[in-house]
Amino acid sequence: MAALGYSGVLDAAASLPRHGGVTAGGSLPGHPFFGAMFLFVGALLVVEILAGPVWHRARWRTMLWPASLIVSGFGMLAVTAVQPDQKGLHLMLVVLLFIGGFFEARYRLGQITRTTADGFAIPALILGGFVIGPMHASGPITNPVALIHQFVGVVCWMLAGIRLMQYRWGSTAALDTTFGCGVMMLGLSLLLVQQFHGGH
Amino acid sequence: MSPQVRALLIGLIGPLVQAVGVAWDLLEHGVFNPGGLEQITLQHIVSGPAHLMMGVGMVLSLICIPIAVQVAAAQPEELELPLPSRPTEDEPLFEGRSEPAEAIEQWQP
Repeated sequence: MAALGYSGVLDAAASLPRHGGVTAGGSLPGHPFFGAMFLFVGALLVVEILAGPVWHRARWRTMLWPASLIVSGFGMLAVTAVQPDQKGLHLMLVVLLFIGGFFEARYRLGQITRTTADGFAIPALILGGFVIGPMHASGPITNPVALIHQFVGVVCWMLAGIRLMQYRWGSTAALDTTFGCGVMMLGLSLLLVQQFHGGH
Repeated sequence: MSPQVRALLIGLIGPLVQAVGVAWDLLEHGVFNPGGLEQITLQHIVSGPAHLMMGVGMVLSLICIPIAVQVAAAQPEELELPLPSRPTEDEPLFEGRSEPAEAIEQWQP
């Protein structure tokens, strides 16, 4: 990367395709990588519940979830920089991802309570659902691509609902596992977006 | 849930994700788009959803199998998480309850 230089990296990144499509140059789309990341981290959230304190024997495992949110934010920042359209929406997602990652990290470091972290996470999830779903989907509801985008938004709202239930009734293994499965579903929905967008 | 059952579930999660990816890929190339095999590009190999799912499953296996071994060797009381306080009738509904941040410190070795 140092050899390419900053401008070289930007040029390479600028050859990324328009949103969800495939360029004539065969550059890489963004949706599936975010989807794979959320699928991966969601599975690890489920493993965290099953393993209990064994999972937290290593500090890096404890911080994996907030770190992945922050890394996603940087990834979305790159998407904002190179995508020619819908920059405002992508930038909004950047801010939401950073907020979620920052406050989740502070909770896991023992600096704030779950209630305080949820005070930021729940609105971020609700707003994220609006941004990804109704605001981002282009085309009629009968269009499979638009429908899948709406589904991604609905999954975000489901995650917000699970966090609300945890706030109201307290964390249980079942709710925490459901949240992890919901994050996996978010990843799967993003992979499905690519399935309908892209081709061979 | 016994440590052995937990370990089994943890160890299986990676292979399960991989299996779903393989099934997806077989369906895509064998049933939904069999003629597309001639048009496979490097982009599809790297960013195809089914391929990414297989990759995720592989990485999950790498991380989760050692965890599964540790969980199987742990005592049942080591695996229980401290339960946070639950609301009572005396607590205001929307004040919320604070899950003690110290609960996380208890997990530190």
